[in-house]
Amino acid sequence: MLDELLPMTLSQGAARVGVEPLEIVRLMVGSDLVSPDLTVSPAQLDKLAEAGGIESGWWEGVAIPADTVAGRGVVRAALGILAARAASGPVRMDNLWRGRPLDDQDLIEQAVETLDEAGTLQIVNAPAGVQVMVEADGIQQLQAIAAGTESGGLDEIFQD
Amino acid sequence: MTTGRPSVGQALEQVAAWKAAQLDENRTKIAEVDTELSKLQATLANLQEQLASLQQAREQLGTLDLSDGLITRSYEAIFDALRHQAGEVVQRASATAAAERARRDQVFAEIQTGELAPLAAEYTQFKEQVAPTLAALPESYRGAIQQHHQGITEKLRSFLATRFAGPADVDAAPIEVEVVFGVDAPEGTPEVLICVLPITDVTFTHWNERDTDLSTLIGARVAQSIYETTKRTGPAGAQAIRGGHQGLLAMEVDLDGASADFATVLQDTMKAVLGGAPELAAAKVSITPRQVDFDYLLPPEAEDEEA
Repeated sequence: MLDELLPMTLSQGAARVGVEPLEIVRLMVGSDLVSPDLTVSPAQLDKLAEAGGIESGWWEGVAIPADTVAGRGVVRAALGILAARAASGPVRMDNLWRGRPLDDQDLIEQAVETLDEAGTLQIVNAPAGVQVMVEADGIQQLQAIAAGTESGGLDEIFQD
Repeated sequence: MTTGRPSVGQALEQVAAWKAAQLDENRTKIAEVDTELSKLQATLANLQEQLASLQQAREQLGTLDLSDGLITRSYEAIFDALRHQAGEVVQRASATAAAERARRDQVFAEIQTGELAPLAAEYTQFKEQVAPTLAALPESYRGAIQQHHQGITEKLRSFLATRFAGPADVDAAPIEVEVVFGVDAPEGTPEVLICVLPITDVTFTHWNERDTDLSTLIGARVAQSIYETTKRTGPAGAQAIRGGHQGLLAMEVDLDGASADFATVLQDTMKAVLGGAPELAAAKVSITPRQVDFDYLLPPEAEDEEA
């Protein structure tokens, strides 16, 4: 129990905020918060999470629509969340799947990448982390996909 | 005409016979010369053929292209060497973890039996028995208890910080490993960085199933070097994409927008970061950054596809 009084290791810190250890390192460098032994305290972790715009809980209270295709309901729900969150500006991409099971995470990421290739949205690297930007037309299309009235060219990702 | 003198007719016949003999002799000589000429011409043609062959061989030797073989052999040599080094790092990681466990056991045993033992017991009691009941207490009691607990926590944390300052030393022979990187810059400006590390890929592909160890920290220090470099040279917001290749961890970074001195700055930064990392010094691991031709880090089949 006294272990919890020690600084967190990289992996512990990463697990706590839901990103990979190398993302913690990237944020440490970007925020000038590299500790000599690469450990991280809860207070430092909070600063890093804030610098990276790392948020969890985007799925709280979200209902996953019933769908005849396995996995598509989760993706539709994710894109509905994205349409709401990205309407006011770029959002951190992995916030969209943080906390979901790994299979869901993979599907959502594939969907976002497919929509990036299609031009519906744009994935950009930024100092805060990988961001998703959506223009007004894109928001409408995301809403249509979320409502199940459009496929958005995502059929292929549900075939595996 | 019996005087013994030849008649004119006879004399002319003798001249004609002489002429025929001369012509025969001449034809024979011409045939002999023609035969010699044919032989010499055949010999000459043969020599010319040999000369052409030698000239062609000479030209081929002068323009020998080793690039394909060189790339393939270099690729294999680099990855073979790094796999061997990764094996050494895995062994050293076990040794560092054992040293850390030993120190931890010693420090916690010291807490349980030394001056701080009452504080440690109180800390544990609070966590196990008091904390679950706090919500039921009046706010004034709750605040006082929490303040008291905070004081104990700070004393214990301060003690632990002192005892765990710096990594645990490993009693082992030094090992030397390398981080290999290549920068693709076909037009002169850096476009892509590939970095291959002497650690296994599972270190990061399965990071959430393992504790942070020496391999994790080597990967983290290399990432730190890359990000400190891109902070200086650009591009802003650079992201290292990590993945496994031949069992080793590789990182790839899109350098679009980086300044031309990226590779030089990265080399210097890696030397400074890796050379100054206390956990590597305590583990007796020396890491040398080594820049190689970018093509040496690409699988040969990918080269063939590009060609």
